[in-house]
Amino acid sequence: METRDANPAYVEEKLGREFYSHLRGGGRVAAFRRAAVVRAHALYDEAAEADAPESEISGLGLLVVQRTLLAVEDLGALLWAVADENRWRRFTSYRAEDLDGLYEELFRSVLDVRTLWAMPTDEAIAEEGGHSEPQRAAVKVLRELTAGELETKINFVASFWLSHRVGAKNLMHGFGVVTAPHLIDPPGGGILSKQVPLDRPRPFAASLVSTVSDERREVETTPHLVELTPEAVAMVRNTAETACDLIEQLVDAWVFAVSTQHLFVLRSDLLEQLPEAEQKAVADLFGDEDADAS
Amino acid sequence: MPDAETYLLPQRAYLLSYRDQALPVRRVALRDSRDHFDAVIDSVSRHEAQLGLLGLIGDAMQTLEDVGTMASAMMVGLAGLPFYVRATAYDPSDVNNFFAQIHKRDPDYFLRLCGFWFEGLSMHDFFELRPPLSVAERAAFDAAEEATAKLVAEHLGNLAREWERYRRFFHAYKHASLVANPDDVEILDEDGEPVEGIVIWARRRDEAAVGNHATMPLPDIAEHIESVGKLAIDMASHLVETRLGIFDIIDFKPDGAVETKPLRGTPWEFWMRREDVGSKNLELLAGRGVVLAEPTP
Repeated sequence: METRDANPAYVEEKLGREFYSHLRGGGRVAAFRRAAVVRAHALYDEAAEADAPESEISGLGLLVVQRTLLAVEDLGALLWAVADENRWRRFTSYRAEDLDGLYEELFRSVLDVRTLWAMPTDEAIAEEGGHSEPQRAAVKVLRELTAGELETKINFVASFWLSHRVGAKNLMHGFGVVTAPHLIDPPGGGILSKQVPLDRPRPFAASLVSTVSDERREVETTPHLVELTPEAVAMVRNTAETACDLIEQLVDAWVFAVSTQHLFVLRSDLLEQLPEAEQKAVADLFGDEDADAS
Repeated sequence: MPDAETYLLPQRAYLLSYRDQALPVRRVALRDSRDHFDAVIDSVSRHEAQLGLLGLIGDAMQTLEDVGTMASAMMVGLAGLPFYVRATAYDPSDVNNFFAQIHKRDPDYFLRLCGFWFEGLSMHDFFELRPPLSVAERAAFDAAEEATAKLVAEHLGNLAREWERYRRFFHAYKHASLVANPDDVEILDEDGEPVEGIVIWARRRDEAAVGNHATMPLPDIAEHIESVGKLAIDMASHLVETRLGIFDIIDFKPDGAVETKPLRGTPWEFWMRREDVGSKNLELLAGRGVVLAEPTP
């Protein structure tokens, strides 16, 4: 495997050639995940409009959830990889619990989106030669604007992972999910019907997750409620779209940074949100590219 | 009779939900991924086409994971608990172990998996048909049970081979989309010429390493893997339906009491090749109201 469009030694030092290769195709992966969720959402809407049986509608809602979880996991894997060294090892060896910790730290702002999205530190901005103080100040404002937008988006995605991961993974581990009609309609689901709050908007489903103690003496089955109303499913689809946006921004930033041998990247698409003075100050720093280097 | 509240009703709800919710959506997902693959196969981006194939592999292998999870739980449950509890206690080794050992299983294993035998007793020992079976009819039922177990064993053997062949692609699909980017990675034949196929990265290695690959034309892989997924869905459907049949003879009273209804038809499903049973037995079965499912080719 050869690196032809960038300095091979620099690529190897910063990312490793395999991870760089994956990032170069990351936009296509995001598009693949996004399209799968959009199609599932369309199938859900079609079934709802056709007045399909409730269990089939909820099943299609769960398909939206399942495919969204995959997009959110893709994002988490990339973030887990760039959060530390040994990027390829981290990218291909993470556990679900690793991503739990990652998303928790992002949600609590323990992890800094500025670092993860390859944005310049204050020191890097200060050390970059050839720029005026107003330019440096404006770059910091742009960085904070970008970071704020990223934090809003990542919190949205992280909250989905943290609240749905266990129940949604179950869809890929045997689909042990009880649908509302079989919990509610006579004769009901026995103890399962008592564990789930049934008086709620439909469709919904209960994803069953059982834990067995080491000695097999204690078994506990916990139903994880999954709301599958049109509003809830649309929200899940939005989560997937946001995760895919973040993947695209992440891979664009890192590929640009490494292929051009710039240490840091700032996006130019938020320039218009800067105050006029800052816009003028940094206008010369950006060319025609979507992203440019600081 | 097990307790209705803690055993029968939760088990029934799980099985009905699987039939009414999981099976339809697995079929739709497989069809959707196939349609998407067909839409991108001619894309100028080989990566896009390979990702389309990976999605199809993912939705096909998903159904095999369902079968492995469910069948494993049916056979190795938790003492005193309905099998859904074991099926929802995820252990990543369950599915691999189930398929890895399937070729070692004896015919009795499949008779139990199909629900014809339980704890060393035939279902005929639990449920007596009305009117009682004649000797010839009982022999016909025995033949149908054995033929069904034989076909299920054969199908599970095929699914086991496909699980071993494609499960790492499935993991690549589920965990970070680990298709090697064909802009940078290609498969070469012995003469150094590129050949069509798909390569995934190996997981959990200290150094980057190529994992599994498949070198058939992508449409051929798609055609094959879709048929594998359909077979797995049929298998899951059979396992669910045959156990749901038992609930047809259980009457759940509003006060929580449970009564057994007279058994007029047969509560379990036969899925077999007709030549494995013989025409005389088929006539006897038909006389007892047995409707045969068409065997999956």
